[in-house]
Amino acid sequence: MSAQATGNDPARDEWYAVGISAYLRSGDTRETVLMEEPIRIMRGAGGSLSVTRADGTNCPVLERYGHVWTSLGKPDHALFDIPEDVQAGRTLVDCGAVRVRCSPLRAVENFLDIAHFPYVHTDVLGSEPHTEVQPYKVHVEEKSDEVWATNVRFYQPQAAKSAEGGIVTEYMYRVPAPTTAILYKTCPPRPGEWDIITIFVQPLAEDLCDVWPWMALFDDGNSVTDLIHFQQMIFLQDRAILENQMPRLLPLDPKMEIPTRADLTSVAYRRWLKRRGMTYGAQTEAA
Amino acid sequence: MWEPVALADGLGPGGVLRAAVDGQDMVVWRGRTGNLHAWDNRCPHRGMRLSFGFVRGDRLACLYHGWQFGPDARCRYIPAHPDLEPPESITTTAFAIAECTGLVWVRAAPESADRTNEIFGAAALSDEKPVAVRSLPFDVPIAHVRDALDGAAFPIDAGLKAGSGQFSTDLTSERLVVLKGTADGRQRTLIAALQPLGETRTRLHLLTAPAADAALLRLLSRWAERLRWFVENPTSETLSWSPLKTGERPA
Repeated sequence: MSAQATGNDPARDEWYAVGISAYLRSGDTRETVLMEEPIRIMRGAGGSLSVTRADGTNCPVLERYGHVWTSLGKPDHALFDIPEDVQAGRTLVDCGAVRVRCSPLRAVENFLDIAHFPYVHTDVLGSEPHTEVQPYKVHVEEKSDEVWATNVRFYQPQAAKSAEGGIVTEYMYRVPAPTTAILYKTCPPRPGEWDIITIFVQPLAEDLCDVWPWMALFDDGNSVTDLIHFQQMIFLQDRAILENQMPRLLPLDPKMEIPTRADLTSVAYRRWLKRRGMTYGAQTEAA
Repeated sequence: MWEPVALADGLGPGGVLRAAVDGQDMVVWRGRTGNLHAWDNRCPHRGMRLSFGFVRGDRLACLYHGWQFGPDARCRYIPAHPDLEPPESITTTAFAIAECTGLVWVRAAPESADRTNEIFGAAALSDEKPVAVRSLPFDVPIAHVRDALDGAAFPIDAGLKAGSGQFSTDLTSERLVVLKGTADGRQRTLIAALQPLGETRTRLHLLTAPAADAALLRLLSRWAERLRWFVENPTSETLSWSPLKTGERPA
């Protein structure tokens, strides 16, 4: 909180998704909130976008991955690259927002977790007795300063809308920004390729967020509506958990919550946040 | 202070509920073999409220990752690592819990020895085993419900149309009002346990002894609803059968 008080909060210099591009046509306005500050998104007659604060000053704005992105500060970096965005053959799906009464960082951490699948997404993404999490690898990519988890494998009764019957699904996770996580999972209809599912988390407050899922899938035969319904079912199951974790803020003090080997990604994510001073939505000291 | 959090019949084997006792958020649950537990309502792994969890045998499992905690509040099983013996250090905090007079009582303090005496003092409640009538929430602070029951200010025999005679009130403890009298021509005891739900709400757990038939239980249940109407609507003109004593009308 002290960093915010002095105006040096690095969270202010990050990019955040604040709306879906396609929903904003010429002349449309969307009012929303970013880190407790009301903002207004407007698309002008020529199609260009602006994001303004209550005092009338402009925020930086760009459109990518189906969403409108902005920042309250001065981002010193371009928005992270998701190369799958332009790969031929993928269906790009924006899913709308799921509002969750939790820290934006808790929402990301839950997305990086697989051990909950048998209990929270029972008979869909996991099922007893297939609960074991095999060892996997986690590292922070030096050049890009991104958290990666690789060699993640888990038994899933119905891994995706296009999956029939149980399979061992392989995953990778990528955290390119504090409130963005990308999941790569093996793609039943296209062996050798990865489906990607991302969440872009818009922090409304330290304990309230809108989660914007976005997918780039190789899928055969499922309508976009079916794909969205599947994701909404998954996210609503997660919401029941996220709104009942205490404290609401993500604890960065390792004494506060006990991890195991299955939580390597979560441990790396928390350390990485701490190192970057990303304390918006975090609790830095034991209560 | 010991607080009544449930009718013992209402928390059967495998039952899990959430209760706030002296500001402490708790999970209260009963194992399949009947043992009761009151713990801090937080899984030490990722902070999930354990009151969303489920009972397997004599263990409570967290809904989030299925971590199982045994009767001693120690973590005994982590499904992500089925072969791992969880370290001793993974525990949750246990609080004192007791089953007395058909009620589950909890105190936001560690386990203690002489629980019955702590809860009831020396008062004799009833010679016969009480049976549960029902629990129901009131939208008023606990003092308002107590005041209505105090000194039989609330007309028990008016609600119990089949009954006659006088009921007298015994304020056994701050959380318990015992009413004794006759109904259906027989001696009857009503036990009203009061659970504060924050500062502004109260839950009444009602029991009676001796055992009552379905018709009498229904009458007592309706009596409790009338009591609630009476306490929540102190200015209502519709309750002509409620001879409130002057000065005892809830604010």
